[in-house]
Amino acid sequence: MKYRAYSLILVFVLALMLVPLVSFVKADESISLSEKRPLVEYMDYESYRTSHPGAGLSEYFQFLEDYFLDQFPARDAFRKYLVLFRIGALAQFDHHGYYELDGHLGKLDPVLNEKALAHALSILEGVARENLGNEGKPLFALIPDKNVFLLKNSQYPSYAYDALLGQIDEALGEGMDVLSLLPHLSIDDYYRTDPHWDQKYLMDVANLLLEQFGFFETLAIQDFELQSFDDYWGTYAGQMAWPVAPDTLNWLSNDTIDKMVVWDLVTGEKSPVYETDKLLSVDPYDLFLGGAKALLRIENTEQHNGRQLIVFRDSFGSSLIPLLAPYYEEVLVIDLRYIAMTSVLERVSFESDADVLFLFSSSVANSPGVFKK
Amino acid sequence: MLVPLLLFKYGDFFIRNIDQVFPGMLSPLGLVLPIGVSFYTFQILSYVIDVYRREVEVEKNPFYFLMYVSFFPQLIAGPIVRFQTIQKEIRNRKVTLELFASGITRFVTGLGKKILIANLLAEFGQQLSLAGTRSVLSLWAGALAFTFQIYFDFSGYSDMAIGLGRMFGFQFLENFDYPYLSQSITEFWRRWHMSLGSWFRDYVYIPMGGSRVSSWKMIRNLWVVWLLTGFWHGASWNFVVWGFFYFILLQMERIGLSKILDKAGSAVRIVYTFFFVNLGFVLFNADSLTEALSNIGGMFGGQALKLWDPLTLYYVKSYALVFLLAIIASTPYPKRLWERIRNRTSGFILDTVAALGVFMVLFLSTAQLVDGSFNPFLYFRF
Repeated sequence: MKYRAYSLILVFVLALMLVPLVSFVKADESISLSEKRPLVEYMDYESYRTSHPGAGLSEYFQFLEDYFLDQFPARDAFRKYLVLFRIGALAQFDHHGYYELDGHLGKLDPVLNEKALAHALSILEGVARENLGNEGKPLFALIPDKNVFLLKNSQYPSYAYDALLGQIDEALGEGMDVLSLLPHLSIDDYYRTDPHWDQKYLMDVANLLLEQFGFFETLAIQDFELQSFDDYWGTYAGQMAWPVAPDTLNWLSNDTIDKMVVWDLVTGEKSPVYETDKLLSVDPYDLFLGGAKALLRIENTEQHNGRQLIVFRDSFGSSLIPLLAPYYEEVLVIDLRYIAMTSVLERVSFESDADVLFLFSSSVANSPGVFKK
Repeated sequence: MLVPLLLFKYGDFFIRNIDQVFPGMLSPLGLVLPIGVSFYTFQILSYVIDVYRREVEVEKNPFYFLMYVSFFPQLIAGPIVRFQTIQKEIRNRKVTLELFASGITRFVTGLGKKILIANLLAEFGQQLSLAGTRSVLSLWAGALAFTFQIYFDFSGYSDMAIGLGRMFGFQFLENFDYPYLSQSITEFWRRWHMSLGSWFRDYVYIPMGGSRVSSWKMIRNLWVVWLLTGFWHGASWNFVVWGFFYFILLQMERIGLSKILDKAGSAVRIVYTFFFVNLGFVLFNADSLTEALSNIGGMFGGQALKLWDPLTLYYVKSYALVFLLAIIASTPYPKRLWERIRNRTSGFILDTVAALGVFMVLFLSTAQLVDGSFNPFLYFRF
C-alpha cells in the first residue's frame, strides 16, 4: 500500500511540476509544422488589449487557455497517442472527421450542402456572365475529392458525387461546358497523406483539358524532368496526427516551365512556377505557384500565339496549371476564395477570346461561403 | 443573502417574462453569472440556518469561514458541503500519504470520467447536431448521450472535488451513488446529486412540515421543493417543467405506482426509472420548451420522422464503445471487480497496475485536453 501511495504521489507531483517547468523553460513555438497552422504565442494583458480593441479580461483568459494548449510540452506526441487510443482502443472510425482507409488519410464531408453549393454556383455563374467574353463557352471541370474513391462501399458516410455534379450541371450547364474529371482519375493519383493530387499523374487530365481548348498534341511524362522531395507529410497527416509513412512530393519541370515568370498581381512580386524554397516551409505543397495566392499572372516568354487562359481555381489548380501554361502566352490564375471579382478587374483585363477554365474540387464546391462576390 | 443569486441568475428571466406581459417596461440586465453562485449561496444559507438552529457553532474566525465558502475544489460545481461536515477539519485535520494518494486516485478518476467519457459523449451530441439530420434514432441517441454525459460530467466533477479535498485532509460526503441503477424515481433522487436533494429536504421540505402534515399540504410542500429544484438548475421554463415532471412522477409513485412496480422484476424497475430520467434530461437539455416537446414527440415517431438515418447510424457505431464504457462505468461492477481482485491478490504487482491505471487515465485526459478545446462544463451554468 505504501509503495502504491509513494508511486502515485511521485507520478502526480512530477506531472504537476514538469509541465509548468518545461513550459517555462522552452521558448514559444510560432508554428505547428504538423498541423500547418500558427500557434498562439504569449502576450501580456496590455499588449493583448492593444492588439484586440474592445477585448476584456474574459477574452484574455480565453486567449491564455488557447495559448497554454497550443504551447503544451510534447503536444504532437500527446495528439498522436490520443488518436491511437481513440481509433485503436475505442474503435472509433474517425478523429475530428479524419480517417485512415486503405493506406490513405481522408476527411469526412458527409453532407451535400445544397444551399451553400447553390450560392457558390450563382457567384461563379455571375462571374462568367458579367465579365467574360462571348467567344466560346467557359469550361467547368470538377475534381473529385479523395472521399469519392475511398468511401465507395465503405462504412463511412458520404454524399453522392453524382448529386453534386448534377446540381452544378443544372446551375451552370447553360453557360458553361461542365466536365467531371472522375473518369480520368483514380485514388492512386492522390497523395496518401494530403487531399491533393500528384502532378506526376495528371497527364490524362491535362490532355483532356487541352483538347477541350483545341490543343491536340498529347502531353507525355517524357516531356518533363521529374523532381521529387521525400518526407512530405501532407495536411491530413498532421491534422489527424495518425502515424503514417510520408509521401514523396513530385513536380514536373522543363525548360519552358522554368523560364516562365509568375507575377503576384496583389503584391507585385515575381517568382518562378515552382518555388523550391517552399519545400522547407510549413506546407511543401506551396511549391506549386507559391501556394495560396489570390491573383497571379503567368508570363510565358517561349510562346507567342497570343492566347490567354483564365483559370478560376482552388489549390488543386496550382499543380495542374504548370502543365497547361506552356500552351499559352499568358495565364491568369484567380482564386475567388481570397479576392473579389471587382478587385480582380481593377488589376487585369480579359481577352474576349480567352480560354476560360473553372477548376474546382468537390470539397471546395461543397464548402459553405468560400467564394467572395 | 439570496439577492446576488436572484439578481445575477434570475434577474433577466423575470425581466423577460414581465416584458412579455408589459412590452418595453424593462430591459434585460445582461449580467455575467458569477461562477458557482448557486453552490456557494446554498452553502452560506445552510451555515446561517444551522447556526440559527444551534446545530453548528458560530465560526468566529472570519478566515476559516471564508475558507469554507471559497474552498476551491468544490466551489465551482459542488458538491454542496455543509459547514458541519468540515468544521472540525478546518481547524484540525491530518494529511497522510495514504489519504493523499487516495485523493489523487479519486481526482484522476473524476478527471477521466469528465474528459474521457462526458466530453466524448458531448462530442457525439455535437456531431449529431452538426450533421443536421433528424430521425427517431438521432433523437434517442442524442438523448441517451446527454443522459450519460451529464452524469459523468457532474459526478466526475464531484469526484475531483472529493479527491482534492482528501489531498488537503478534508472528507466531503458522496454526491452520487450509481443513480442509473435506481429502481424508482424516488430512489433516483436519493442517489443523484445527493447534496442538493438533502439540502432541499433539510432546509425547505422539513421546515414546511414535510410529510407530517395533511395530504394537501404535503403535496404543496413537494411542489415547492420541485419548483425550486427545477429553478435552481436554470432560469428557464424548461427547468421549471423539468421540476414539475419529477413532482408528477413522485406523486404517481406515492399514490400507487410504486406498488405496481414492486411486483415487476428489478430489471423492469431500472428500465422504467432510466426511461423517465432520460426523458427528463431531454427537457433539461433543450434550449426552450418548444424544442423539448418537439424532441420528445420525435422520439416517439411524431412529425413523421424517419426511423433512422445513415449518418446517425455511422456515429452510433463509431461511438459504440464509448457508450458501452459509459454504461459499464455507471454501475458499481468495475469497482466491485477491482475489490475482489484486490482481496485475492496483493502486493507489488497489483499496486503497480493500479498506479499505471491512474497514470494512463491522467495521460489520456491530458492528451484529450491538449488535442482540442472541446470541453463544455455543464455545471458551470449553475
